[in-house]
Amino acid sequence: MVSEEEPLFRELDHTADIAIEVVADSPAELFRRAGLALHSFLVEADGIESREERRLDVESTGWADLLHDWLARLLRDFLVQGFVAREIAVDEISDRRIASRISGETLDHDRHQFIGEIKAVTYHELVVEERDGRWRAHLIFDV
Amino acid sequence: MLEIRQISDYVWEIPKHGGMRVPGRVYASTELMQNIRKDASLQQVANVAHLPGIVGYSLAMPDIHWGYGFPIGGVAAVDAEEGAITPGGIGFDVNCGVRLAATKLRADDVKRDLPKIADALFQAIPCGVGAKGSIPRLTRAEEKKLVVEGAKWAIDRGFGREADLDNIEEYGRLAGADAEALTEEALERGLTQVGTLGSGNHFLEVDRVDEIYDSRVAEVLGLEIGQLAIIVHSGSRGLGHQTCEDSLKVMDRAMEKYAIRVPDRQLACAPVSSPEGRRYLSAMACAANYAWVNRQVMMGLAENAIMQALAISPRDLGMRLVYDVCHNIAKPETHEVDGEKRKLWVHRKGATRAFGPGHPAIAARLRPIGQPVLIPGDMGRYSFLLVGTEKAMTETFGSTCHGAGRVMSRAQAKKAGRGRNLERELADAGVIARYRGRGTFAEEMPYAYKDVADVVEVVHGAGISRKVAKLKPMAVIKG
Repeated sequence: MVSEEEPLFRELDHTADIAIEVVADSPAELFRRAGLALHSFLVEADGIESREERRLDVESTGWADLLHDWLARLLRDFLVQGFVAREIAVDEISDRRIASRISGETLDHDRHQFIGEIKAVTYHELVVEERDGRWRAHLIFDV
Repeated sequence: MLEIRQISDYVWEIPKHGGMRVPGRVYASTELMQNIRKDASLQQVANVAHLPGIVGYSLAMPDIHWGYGFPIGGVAAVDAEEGAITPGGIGFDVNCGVRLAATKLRADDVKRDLPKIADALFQAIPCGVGAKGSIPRLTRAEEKKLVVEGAKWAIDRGFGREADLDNIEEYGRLAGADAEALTEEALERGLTQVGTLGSGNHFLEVDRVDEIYDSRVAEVLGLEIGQLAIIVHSGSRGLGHQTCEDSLKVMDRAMEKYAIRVPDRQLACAPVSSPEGRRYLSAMACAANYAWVNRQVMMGLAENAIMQALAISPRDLGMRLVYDVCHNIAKPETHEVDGEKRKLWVHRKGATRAFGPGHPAIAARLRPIGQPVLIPGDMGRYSFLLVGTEKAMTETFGSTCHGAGRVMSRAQAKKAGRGRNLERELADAGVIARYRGRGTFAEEMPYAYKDVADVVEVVHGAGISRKVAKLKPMAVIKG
């Protein structure tokens, strides 16, 4: 298990949008971190409680597309239903399918600090790669 | 290193090389070009020149910066029969755009009430996340209707007035919209977001007409110094974003099917006349119409909010639409290419249509002056109203710039804002701010943006549009 002291991701410089790099020891942890990173740009983590757990299973072709499609679904649940994640558990993962559980609650402007909206998870410079047992993802969010 | 040569004060050319079908042309001053060279946007201008059926030049406006596939500020026209349409040339926020509405009020007369106006606007305009839209109980059937009808749908429901339609590109309705071309996901995202602002660089602003450069044109538009005006900047919300998203995989597959090669996956495209191309254009038209409904509804909400805040009648306020333009769209247009009139699809991504005087696509009342173009600046400085010119018709497919463009990344801007009272700084500059997203607000501070005046000087100097007026913000609402 990775120590929680270590930052979840690194924000890179990008003029108009948000670019991040996520590093982890396993694809499951990489996806978890990327999902929490996405949410960290939407709502401040303080005060978000695990009041509800949702299943999120996504299928795609290849690691990069799978990460893209899964994050796009997470984003949609936030934008449409205001669902914000407190924690993410990845139960099963391969380069074609992820089975995950998202726990969190519905955004409440009185209790939560909304940061901003993300329009889309893009394919721009999208990378998911494994090198010497370390997994790395590069992502750009359109804001 | 990409070769680029200056061919006049404001025009630079990227010669045709490799698989480029046409040369690239960038409108910029020498100073702006120094900045433009720093990112990959010039390479993107060259990449766009690879699109099947592209004619003339792969163009870029002076507010060009690095985008996805297309640069922001990119314009590309493709043949309507043999060309290819790319969602990358339109963007996630289909018909993101701005509108300027004028009132009969004098800015000085309401200065004292400005905090009250700002509060009322902030209350009236939802940002759209975790909040309800402005149209409660909108049904799926109504949603399918509004994406076909466009701005008129909102006018029929009491937002604004019939006369506004003359002052919207395409009269607020892009033809060819078919709700069946939208996915369930796109419709789901759109259902609760009609009349919502969104965040990022979107805003609703109360402005004062600060300077007039062309009194003849200003008179036709009914603008004078000291007048109170409203600017709304927003787009097609989740419905448009999802439509772009949905199209990307379809286009990926179409590329294989039609054996099209482009240098960047995000330029994935399909022939205009293919089933994939036609379906995307139908869905895009729906998203464009949704955006017009969205801005029309917000203008109506703003009108009500100001009337209530000041306890005045619609007649006293006298709000009317001056003009509404799109920034991210593709449209079927006829232009002269090498002396021949041709039917084209013009992609404008972070660029604005700027048709010259006499063009049949603009309303009769505006034909003598050319199409009005609103160029919003950052929230502390100013915005400009321009008009299109004949030169834009011959040089840029009737297109001009769309905004200031960032100079600092979002991360840098946030860092620069730490430990500062940004609200206070804006107030000192004479702008009252109300906002929901704390992060967005810091990222959108004036220091994060280029001076829009530098961008406007280029398009004015190059003659592809002409300055009419300058507006100064007094209050800004951010999502």
